[in-house]
Amino acid sequence: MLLVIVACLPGIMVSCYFYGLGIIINIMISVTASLAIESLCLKLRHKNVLHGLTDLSAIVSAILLALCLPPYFGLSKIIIGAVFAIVVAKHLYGGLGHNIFNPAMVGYLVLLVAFPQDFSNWQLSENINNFTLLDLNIDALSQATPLDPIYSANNNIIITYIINISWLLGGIYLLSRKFIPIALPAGFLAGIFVASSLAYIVNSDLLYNPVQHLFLGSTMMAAFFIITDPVTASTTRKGRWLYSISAGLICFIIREFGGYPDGVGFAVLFMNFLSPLINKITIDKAYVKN
Amino acid sequence: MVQTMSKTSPKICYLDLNIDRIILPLDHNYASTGDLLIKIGDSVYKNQALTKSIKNDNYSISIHSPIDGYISNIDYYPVLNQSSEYKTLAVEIQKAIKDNLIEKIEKSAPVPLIETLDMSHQQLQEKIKQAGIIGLGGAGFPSAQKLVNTKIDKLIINAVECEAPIDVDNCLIQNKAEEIISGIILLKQIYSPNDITIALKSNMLAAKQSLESVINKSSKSIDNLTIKLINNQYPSGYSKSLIKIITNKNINLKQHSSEENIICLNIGTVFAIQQAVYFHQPLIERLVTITGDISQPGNYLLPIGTPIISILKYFNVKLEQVKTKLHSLSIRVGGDFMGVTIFDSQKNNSLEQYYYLNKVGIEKTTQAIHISYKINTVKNHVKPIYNCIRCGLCDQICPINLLPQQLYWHSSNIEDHNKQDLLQQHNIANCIECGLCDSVCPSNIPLAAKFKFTKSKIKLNSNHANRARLAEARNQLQNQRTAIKEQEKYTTSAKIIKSSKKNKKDLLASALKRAQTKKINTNQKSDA
Repeated sequence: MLLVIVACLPGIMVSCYFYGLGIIINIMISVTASLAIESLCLKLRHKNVLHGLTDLSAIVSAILLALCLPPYFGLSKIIIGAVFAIVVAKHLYGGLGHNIFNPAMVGYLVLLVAFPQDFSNWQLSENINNFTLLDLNIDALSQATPLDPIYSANNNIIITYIINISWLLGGIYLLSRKFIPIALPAGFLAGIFVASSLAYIVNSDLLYNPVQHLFLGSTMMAAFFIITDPVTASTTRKGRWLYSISAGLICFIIREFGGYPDGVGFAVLFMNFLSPLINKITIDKAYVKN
Repeated sequence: MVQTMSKTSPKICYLDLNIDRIILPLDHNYASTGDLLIKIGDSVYKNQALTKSIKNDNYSISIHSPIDGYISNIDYYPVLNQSSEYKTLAVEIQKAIKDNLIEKIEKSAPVPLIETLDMSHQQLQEKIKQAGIIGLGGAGFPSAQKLVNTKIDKLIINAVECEAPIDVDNCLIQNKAEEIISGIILLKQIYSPNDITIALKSNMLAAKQSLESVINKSSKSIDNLTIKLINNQYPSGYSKSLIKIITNKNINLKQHSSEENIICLNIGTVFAIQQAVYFHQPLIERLVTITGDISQPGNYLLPIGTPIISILKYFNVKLEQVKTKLHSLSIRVGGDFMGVTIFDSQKNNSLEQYYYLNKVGIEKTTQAIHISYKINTVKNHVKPIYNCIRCGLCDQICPINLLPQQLYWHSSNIEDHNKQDLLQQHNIANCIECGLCDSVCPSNIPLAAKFKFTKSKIKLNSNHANRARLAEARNQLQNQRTAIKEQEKYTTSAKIIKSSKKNKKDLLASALKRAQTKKINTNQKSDA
């Protein structure tokens, strides 16, 4: 799990560069709250607190939750999100290894549904001015969440590209250490690519092209860090492809035709419902490996 | 978990043990031993058969006494590779020196390598059964059963000892290469395979040299014999893995490899077959690697049934003194992965363990004993077991492409039939209990042991189900038979009543007559 935190660092640093210190403050609040709540839960369940904390799973979900939230979100709200993520989505379902739903996504979606107006509060920092070298005209300094594809101002797209590339670098590092199976991120990106190309063929002027879609919003972060949660994803080899491709398709559909910002949260949660069924129907044949 | 192997010399060492007791259990993994030929108090000599193998049953073998002595006890004893609660019937022999000992087994002169075998394969099967030969590679499959199908394309001789620190095949080859080649020629005449491969571990270069020197001396009738060095990766010694490495064929895991015309035999078994055929020598001793923190580690030729406690006494392993806080003693039988720890001084039931060690002995499938003294550091402390976090490492490492995390998930409630079906779907029957998933689990879950238990439970449940079905079928047949009888009774009685309605008097007269004759008969009987 320490590898995952290390791989998150490029993405976090680039996001901080563009969105300011609010991101770091969110992360710190979220991590402290999660650690406190997790140790309380472990103690109440009579489990070994030290072992439960040192596998760093609570810290990883706290970081992922904090990155989905706008900067300077608010102390109490983050704590509410952390409570839902750790207590409800993780411990009430049986603790690490037994949860059905991705804790970070549950926390994020609870906050999205409870405080929808706070999610339109992404403030860019002054570092944007460095990009005038590329002759960009930036109309407004505030925008919707980075999880929301920016249809209005084409110039701000460079920011999401750079952020996504940094997440991609972190993800490639994880893949090279064989910490995550290739099926999950590749399937997710493939799902988005295929769905967006189909939509692009039908209606090319209103939508972004498929390659742009891969770098929009939080696609890369979702592909390498959110979908790849080993507890909630499918475990069979064929099942992983099915799981991630469907998540990609649903994510695209929600982005285009749904009312919420980036469809990652709902897509992942929807596939989490289905992963036990996928596990059952895609059992591999037993043979002797070389 | 991997323990360092101390260097073992390639020579066969002999334990000057003065063994006073031999314990021979009658229960083996696959083989049954037939009827006992002896009883308590009988005197036995070396190589005498103690049980009789059943004629047409290839799974039945004989066992033999390795020493001269007398039968001191036939009772229930624990067995080496199982828990101490499992007991099976065993024969205990006490040593006795006899003056008028008749050596009934005649050793013939050493035969040259090339000799035609003048027995049919059924006769060879009987010979193997009467010599008590089972697979000496660890599983103990009765070797006679491997001779049923004699149209074989490929014969593989397995000397890939993939588990450290087992070194017995290496030692056997370096010391008995001629006998092994002679045994291979014997098998060649039975199977007539297209080619024969001897598979060695990649670092067994000295063994390869000794085999090649023997082959070069007599290159006439062994032209399709190749020696192949296999990469030392666990579990390449598993027969289906080895077959895949050598021939690249995927054997269906439910079948035996003979259905694809490939036979895989351990090299120790080949040696035992050769000794049985040429010298009429039954299987009474085998090589065991004894390593660890002892004075002379090596490969020792031990009689089968040697009590473990005698071996420990020979190596001055003191079981009583090690209950200190600093050191702990652990004795492991078998390799690193599939071995069983039979004594662990960190556990608190030392009296029970001591009793157990007194009552078990070397079996035909024992390969190694590892005795290690460990300093009680945090690292060597018994690790606690945590919950499965579904990381998927066990899934990546399984050599049979199974999903151990799913098997573990579903094996929590065995009594549920849905779970049993799920487990069957996940192919739990194909698990070879190699222990690789155990070694990578970050939560220290004993997966292989759990699967072993689950498999035996499923087998037990299916046995119950089969017996229940048979009982139900029998009950139905019984019901049918009673119904038919009732029917007949009813019809005959109806007939009688019908006819009686017509001529009642006649019936009465005939009944009276019958009673009278009966009375006369009884009077006659009582008179006579």
